[in-house]
Amino acid sequence: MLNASNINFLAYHRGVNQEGQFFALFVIVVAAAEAAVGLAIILKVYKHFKTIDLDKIAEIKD
Amino acid sequence: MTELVFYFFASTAIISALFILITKHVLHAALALVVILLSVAALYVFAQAEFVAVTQIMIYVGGIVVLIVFGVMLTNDISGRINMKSLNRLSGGLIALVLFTLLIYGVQYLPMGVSGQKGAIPMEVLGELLLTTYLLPFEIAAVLLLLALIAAAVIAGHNLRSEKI
Repeated sequence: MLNASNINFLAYHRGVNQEGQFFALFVIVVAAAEAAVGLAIILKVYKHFKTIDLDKIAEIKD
Repeated sequence: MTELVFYFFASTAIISALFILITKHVLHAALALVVILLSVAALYVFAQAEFVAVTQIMIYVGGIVVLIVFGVMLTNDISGRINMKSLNRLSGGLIALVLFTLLIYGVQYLPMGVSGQKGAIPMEVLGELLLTTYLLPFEIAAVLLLLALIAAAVIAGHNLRSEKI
C-alpha cells in the first residue's frame, strides 16, 4: 500500500496527457481492493494460528 | 511561494515514510500513513488533479487506514503486544537504495515536456470521459471491487449456520 501510493504520486500525473489522472484513479481502486483482501487473509491466519508473527507460522499444512 | 508549500508537503511525506521505517509501534505507523496520504493528496492538488486528491483522501484515509486499524485491533493478543520487529534490515536497505538510484535515473528520462494544457479538467468532462473513453477500465474496476468484496467476505470466514442441518 505504501509503495502503491508512492508510485501513484510519482508516475501518474497528467504531465502532458490527460490519461494519468484516470490511471491514478484506477490505481487507487485496485489498492483498496488489495487492502481489503489482504486484511481478510490476515484475519483468517490470525484465527487459525493465533499469531501473526510470520516466524511462528512455519507449516503449510498441519 | 507555491514552491515552498510544495516542498513542505513533500518533506512531510518523506519524513513520515522514514518514521514508518523506524518505529516499532504498529499504530504509530498507521497514523504516519495517514500523514503520508494527506500530504500526497496535497501534492495531487498541486498537479491540478483535485478529483484524484479528494478520492484518495476518501478511499485511502477513510477506508484503508480504518481497515488497517481494525486489523491491528482484531489481531492482538490480550497482553497487548503491538510491536513489530523487522529482520534483514541491511539487505532490505541495500535493495531500497539500488531501487532508489534506478528510479532517479529513470525519472530524468521521462518525456514530460511543459504541459501544453494548463488548468484542471472540469468535473463534467471528467465524468463524461469516464463513461465514454475510459468505459472499459471503469467496468473492470467495478467487477474487481465486487470480486474483492466477495473474496474478503469468504476469506474472513464467519461460521455458516448450514453445518447444523
